[in-house]
Amino acid sequence: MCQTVYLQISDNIEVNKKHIYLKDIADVYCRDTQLCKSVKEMEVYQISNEKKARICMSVLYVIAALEKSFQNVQFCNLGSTDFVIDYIEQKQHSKVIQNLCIVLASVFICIGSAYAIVAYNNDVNVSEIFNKLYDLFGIYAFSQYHLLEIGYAIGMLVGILVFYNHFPGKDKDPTPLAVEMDKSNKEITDTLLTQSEQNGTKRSVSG
Amino acid sequence: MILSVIVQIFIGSCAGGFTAAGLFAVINSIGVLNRIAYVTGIQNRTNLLENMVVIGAVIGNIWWIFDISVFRSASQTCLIAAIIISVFSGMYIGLFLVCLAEAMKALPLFLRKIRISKVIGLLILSIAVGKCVGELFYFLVLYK
Repeated sequence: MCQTVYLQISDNIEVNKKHIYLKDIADVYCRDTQLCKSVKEMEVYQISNEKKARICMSVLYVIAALEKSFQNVQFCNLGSTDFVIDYIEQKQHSKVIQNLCIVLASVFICIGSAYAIVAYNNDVNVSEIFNKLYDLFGIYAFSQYHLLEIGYAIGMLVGILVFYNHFPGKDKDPTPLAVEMDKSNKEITDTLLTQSEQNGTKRSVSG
Repeated sequence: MILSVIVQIFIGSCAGGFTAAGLFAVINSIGVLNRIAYVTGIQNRTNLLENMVVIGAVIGNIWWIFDISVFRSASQTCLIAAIIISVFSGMYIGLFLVCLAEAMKALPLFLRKIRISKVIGLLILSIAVGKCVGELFYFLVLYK
């Protein structure tokens, strides 16, 4: 009887070994556990001596490689048909460098937003609006204490935190920014695949 | 005379209608109301939120154009009411600006470049603190 092996390949894979086995890029299921194990240990691709590499691959390339060594087995892919493998030599930056990156990014964003809000206030002439607000309530005498402006500043802090920060642990949903990140990552993967198809660098059965 | 008034009213309402369309298009496309409805959990009452935008815009227009000052004598109640209004304005503007930055994909691109996606909460906190500090700097130092 012909066995069926089910593969599920994700579309964006990061590896840090030169030898890529099927288990690195796909989830494998087969009723026969012995067969499943040996399929998982199949080498799919080997990266030549490079520090960084990005390989665009079609599932046909994987299946062709698999069928060479497994006769009488049917392969069924339920995941993505085209995918990108990112190879980076070392696993990650060291902890210190990564934390430094985070601090730098935070400081950069903090100063950038401060500048942006000053530019915005200048642009839309917020001071005049506040003068009118003082007039509206007849409390122009208080305008030297800048109470409304301070309230506005605190309100902005609260507003951004309430609407954009989920206060980790309280709510398991991803933040809108995380959703946006995921979306743009997918779009970048799509673009890479299209480009590799046009340049002919995609690993497929014909190429 | 009457003709001139009619033409003026016509031009005014054209301008207002088109500006209103622009305002709604911006609010809608960057998802301000979606965000508010999502956080407060009232997704089934979006009609109410839209109506509030209309009412708020009308009140703001009337206040701005006719230069109204309701209360002539300064009192503590007035001061507190004004502070509450400015806090809410700040919240709205903060939400609006972050929505805009997100819709323009400024932040996702930046985050991808620096390859840290696990600390988004921290980065949002730094946006919020930066805005608050910038605001205080603007009002208390730059344009006293």
